[in-house]
Amino acid sequence: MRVAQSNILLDTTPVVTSGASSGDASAITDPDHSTLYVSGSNTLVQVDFGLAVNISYVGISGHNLGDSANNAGTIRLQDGATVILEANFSRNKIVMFNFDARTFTNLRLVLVADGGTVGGNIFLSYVSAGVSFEVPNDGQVAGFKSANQTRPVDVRVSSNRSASPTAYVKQRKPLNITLALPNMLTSFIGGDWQSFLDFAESQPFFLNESDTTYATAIMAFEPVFSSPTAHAQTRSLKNTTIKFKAFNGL
Amino acid sequence: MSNKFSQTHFEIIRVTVPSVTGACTIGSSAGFGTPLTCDQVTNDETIYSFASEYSPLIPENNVFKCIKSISETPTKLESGKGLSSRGTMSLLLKDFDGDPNKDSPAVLADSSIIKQGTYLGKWNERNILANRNITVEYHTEEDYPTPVQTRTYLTESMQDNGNGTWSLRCKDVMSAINFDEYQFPSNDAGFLRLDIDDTTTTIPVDTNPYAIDDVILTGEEFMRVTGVSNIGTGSATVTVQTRGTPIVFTEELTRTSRDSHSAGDAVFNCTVSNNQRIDDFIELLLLDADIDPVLIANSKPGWTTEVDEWQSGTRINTLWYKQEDGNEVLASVMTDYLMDIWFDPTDNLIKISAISQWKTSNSVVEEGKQITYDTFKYVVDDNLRATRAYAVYDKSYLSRSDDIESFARLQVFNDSILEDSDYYGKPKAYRFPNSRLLDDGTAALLVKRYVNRFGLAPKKYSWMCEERFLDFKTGDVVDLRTPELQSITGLQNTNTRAQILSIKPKYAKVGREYAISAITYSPEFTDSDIIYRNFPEMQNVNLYDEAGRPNEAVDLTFVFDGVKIGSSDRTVPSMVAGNFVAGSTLTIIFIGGTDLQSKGGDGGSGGSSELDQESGTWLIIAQPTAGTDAGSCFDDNGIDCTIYLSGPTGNVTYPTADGYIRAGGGGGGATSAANEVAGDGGGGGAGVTIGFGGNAGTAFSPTSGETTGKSGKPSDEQGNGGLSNGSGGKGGNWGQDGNPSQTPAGIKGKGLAGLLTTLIGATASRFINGGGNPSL
Repeated sequence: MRVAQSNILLDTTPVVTSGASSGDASAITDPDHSTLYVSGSNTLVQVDFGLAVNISYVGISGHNLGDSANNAGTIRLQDGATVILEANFSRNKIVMFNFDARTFTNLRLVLVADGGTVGGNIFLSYVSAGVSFEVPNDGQVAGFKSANQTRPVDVRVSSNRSASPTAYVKQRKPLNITLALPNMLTSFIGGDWQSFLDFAESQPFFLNESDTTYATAIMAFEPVFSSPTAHAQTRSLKNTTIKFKAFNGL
Repeated sequence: MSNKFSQTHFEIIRVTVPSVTGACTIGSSAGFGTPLTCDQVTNDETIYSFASEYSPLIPENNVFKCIKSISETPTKLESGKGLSSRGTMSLLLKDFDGDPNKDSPAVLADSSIIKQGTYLGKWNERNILANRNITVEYHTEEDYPTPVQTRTYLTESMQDNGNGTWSLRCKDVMSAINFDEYQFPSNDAGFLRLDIDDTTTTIPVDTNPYAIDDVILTGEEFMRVTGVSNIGTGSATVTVQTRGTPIVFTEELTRTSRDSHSAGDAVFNCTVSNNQRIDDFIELLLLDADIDPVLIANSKPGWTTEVDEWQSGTRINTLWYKQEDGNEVLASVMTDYLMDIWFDPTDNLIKISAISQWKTSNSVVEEGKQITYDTFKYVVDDNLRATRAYAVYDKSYLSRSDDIESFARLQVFNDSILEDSDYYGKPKAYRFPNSRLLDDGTAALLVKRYVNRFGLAPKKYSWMCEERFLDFKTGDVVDLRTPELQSITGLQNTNTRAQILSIKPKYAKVGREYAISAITYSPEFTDSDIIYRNFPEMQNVNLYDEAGRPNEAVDLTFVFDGVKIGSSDRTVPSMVAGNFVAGSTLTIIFIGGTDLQSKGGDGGSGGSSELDQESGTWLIIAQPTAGTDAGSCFDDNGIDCTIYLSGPTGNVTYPTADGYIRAGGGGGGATSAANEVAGDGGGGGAGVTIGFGGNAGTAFSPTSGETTGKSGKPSDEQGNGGLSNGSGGKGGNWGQDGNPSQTPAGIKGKGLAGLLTTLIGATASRFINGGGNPSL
């Protein structure tokens, strides 16, 4: 499991080099999901962020590639014209590319809607890039909820006198997730974890359960912090938890 | 509304505020592009958009997801009260970082402003957020970007809740005439420049723009302007008609008493309703209340259609003087003509709807669809019930108080069946507010429609409806289908009709649903229904009005039980079918000796003479008049009618007829005066109302005084024409001309004035046709 702990793209304005519209491209780096960039294309959008030094993740949240004719999309992470990583997925999943820290001469994202989006052009709400860290012990203790594999909706159903359904009404809701981190080295709690908390208290952060697949991420926000607690058997370890809400794009 | 089976709901609100595009400064500082922060003239509008927190990603920029909750209390029809309750809405908004005027000169000059304060806090400080157009778009993700419904309101105020949230309160456009907030007419009063006595017709007035045919009110005296001079100047005068004479346009609008007035007394320029349609008056009032003319223009075609259908001949003839509460004025008009008015935020229209049992249903509302299972319930509301209704009207002197002594007439209607011990056992009355608008016809229609509508205790229904099934609107009349409504056999009642009073959106834990309230809407009379009347006396019966003016071809049965039916005017038949839609058929059964007669003709008046002293000759100063014709009993007005007078009727409830139709007699002729012998009046013709005897003439001598001739005698109601007493002609008996004398007599009345009437059981003793048309 990898978790973002910084974002170098804040307050920058990328350049849309393919599929551009008259929209404000700064919306792409604005974590406020009320703002988004609606492109001028329903098939492909290419966004250049320029020089990106020593980053280890790129997260993409709030797109509509899954609303394509074939219900599938692709996002390519490139350094200029060179493809570094590629995520293929169905639905509007959140993508988090993880890689060993490196510098991009021109950090570029290419978003492709398979068959073209239906009902409008491709839009993109948020891209973040920076440093991420590997959660010790993979972070997935028993009971951890894989938020990227559920549906963030409540459903209410009306039925008739024969108890068969007559109407489905749905409403979106944020997912509530708890990340429990038992048996963490005190050096981790005092190091990467503290840097993460600095970041998480003011910015949404990407989290990917997998190191090897990219469309398995969520964007977490509204954290509720807990103080690390002493381990029952050794002072070299601590237990901690963090609760947050999550957006999975679905 | 979307009828998709599966729907994901969210809402977007949009608030339109005035703005300044381009240069914007306030003093020497850059401004924020709003009227409050710019010295420049407002030249644009800005729309601010907010979405519910649970909305999906919306492919529009600057739609802020900050709506925590929406609460709407929609308009609700108030049956019988004319005006509906006003709709309101309240939004709870969660504040957030940002700036509502990012592109304004002030923010462009200093971008640090963006991070200062909060978005909504700055928005509130830079704008006046009252009376701004606000729309609530109901969306489903499945139908986005097209809203499934858009509801329109006006903003009222922003309130800081102190916990990072704001409340934005909204109201519907009809709130412009809220009680105590609007006076009609809104024009200011002028004043008299000088004292005036009670006879002068030249009135010194202020500089207001008075014009010919204005009606002004000073003190309690109305004056109609017939000329103007020096208007708009310090020596302006208006010329008025003879002081103290009635104010007459198409009809007499008011009587008035002349009086002297002092300099400085207020001069109210009245608003004249001269033969004005109801829809035209509503337009006048709402425009005067400063409601958006575009909204009124869009709404008016619907009003015209409704008025044409239910109050086609009704005209308003009155004066609106001084300032009255606009809310009450509109309520009085709508109540008098039994109509409801409300604002529909969905259609963004002001609507009116007549209250009539003849309204047909728009759709079927059934459990499992429009009625969510297990949510239907009802209560009986006895407050609205009335087995009889009273309307007091005819206010001759408008400037007098609205107490009952200022009104001359009373119209009463009761449903004797419902007052019988088999039903409620005693009367329950409803009295309308005293009216200066009603006339005989509209007052009669008012009380009949009310009792027909609310004679049985109305049931108030309520249920929930899912959005996908919401295919009806406030004001609609619908047929209800639910097992909760049982017939006397326990089966589902399929004959329940209701009018939708309100549709309240409920923002449930998941998505939207709707709380519906409705009230019993008595179905129209069906073929098996009988309209029963047993008043001792009736005049000028209009069967169309008795039935509540149906708007479609009908097949109805009327039963008159022991009623004596006459006419107040010989030119008006005692009973008419009325304005039924072509193709209608009427069955009329007389029982209990019901006696339909036309009015008898009046005897002619004798001539008069006077002695001219200088010449010594007698001069004729008044010629004798002819006797008048008797009226008609029944006019079918081209509608197929069958009247049973005796024998079997074929009706189970009223199997045997017993009644009469008898044409009146003409009035007798009169005689001229002959020198010192005054003329004699003729006798009155038989009928109901009876024919009056003609007046006697006079013969006047300056030396010996006045002598009078013989007045004619009135008829009786047993068919005998009145005698002359002198040499005038006798009035005619039932169905006979009067006897002429030196002037012609009146012609006998008509039993049947129409050509489509079939009489059953019309024996010689029961039917006297006079000069009428033959029965079919």
